[in-house]
Amino acid sequence: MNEWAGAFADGLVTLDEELEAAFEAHLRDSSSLVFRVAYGVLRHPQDAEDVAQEAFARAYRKIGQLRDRDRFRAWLVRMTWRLAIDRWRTDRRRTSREESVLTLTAPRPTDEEAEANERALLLWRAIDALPEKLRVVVVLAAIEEHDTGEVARLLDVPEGTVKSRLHKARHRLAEALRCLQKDPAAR
Amino acid sequence: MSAEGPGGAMTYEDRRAVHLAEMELARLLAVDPSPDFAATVRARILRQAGSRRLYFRWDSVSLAAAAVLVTAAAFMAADILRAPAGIQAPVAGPVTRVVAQPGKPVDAPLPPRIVQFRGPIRRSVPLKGRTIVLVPPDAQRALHRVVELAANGALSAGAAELPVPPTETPTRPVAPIVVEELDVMDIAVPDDAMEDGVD
Repeated sequence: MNEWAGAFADGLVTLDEELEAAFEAHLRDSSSLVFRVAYGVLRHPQDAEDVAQEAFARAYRKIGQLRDRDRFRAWLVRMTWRLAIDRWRTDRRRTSREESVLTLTAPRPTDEEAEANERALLLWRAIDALPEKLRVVVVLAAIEEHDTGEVARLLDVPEGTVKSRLHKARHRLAEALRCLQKDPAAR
Repeated sequence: MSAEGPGGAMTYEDRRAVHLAEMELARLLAVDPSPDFAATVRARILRQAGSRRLYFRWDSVSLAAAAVLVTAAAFMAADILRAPAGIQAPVAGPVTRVVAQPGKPVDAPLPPRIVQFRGPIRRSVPLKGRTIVLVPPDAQRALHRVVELAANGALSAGAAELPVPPTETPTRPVAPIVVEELDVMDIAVPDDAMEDGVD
């Protein structure tokens, strides 16, 4: 076993070697996915890393309670989503204040950068306006080009449900984008 | 403007806008964590394990303190329960009776009520085994008199031979009752007066 796992030998939270190896594999394979899920909600690299790390730490503590180890990845993604949503709701007011300060103090971007930032801001606002069930489908489908089957496995729902939610989400997204493009004051 | 075209489908512009938005979203989400992400996760797990262990230690100390407090409270409660709550009801036991002796006036109208306490009223004044007599004031005076007589030897066995001191009986002047004969007039009415209509 590696060094860090050995450090748990006298600790309170210890896993057997098989679980340690499984957790190490998941940590290696799922770091990017978990981080992107958190980033899709928080859009802040440090906050997203913090939430992703916390999700892994919780998963380490509770991996022994997981009945089906093959579903660890989906379980971890859902835990990360919930943690990120909680953080997003808590920090929403603070983040908006920070964004306003950054807008005032940041150096003036080039026209191309400004246009890209505008487009991204518009898109995030349209996604934020979606209900949570539709929003998670859109974000997970956009990460690593997941198809509906993979999104269904991650959310532990039938694939038909994912397709239906994705269809509704696209309609609402189109409507929101149209409204935001026509009415800049709503941004 | 509706988001849907004929038949509930999105218009071409909407489909294009959504497609572009999804491509943009995929691009925005193509970010990776910092290189030391895994190491930070391991450090966090170690730190949380340490803090949880410390928490459990504090938890043990708290449990021990609570156990000591509960034990002390149980001892105090048992000590309080051993002491009586207060005055108990009169119980059957030795009853002192004051019996009027023949030829000796006893001006105690009622026998004194004897109440015996089996336990102390207060822990600082243990009364166990002692007898307290609760009597009305006049009975108390009579008892004192009996005690005085006993102290003077008046109640001893040979006291019957001794002359009884005269009891001072309060005399009250009584006036003689004079019965006087009443002089009652004859108020009989003659029969002729009634017939004349005279009352």
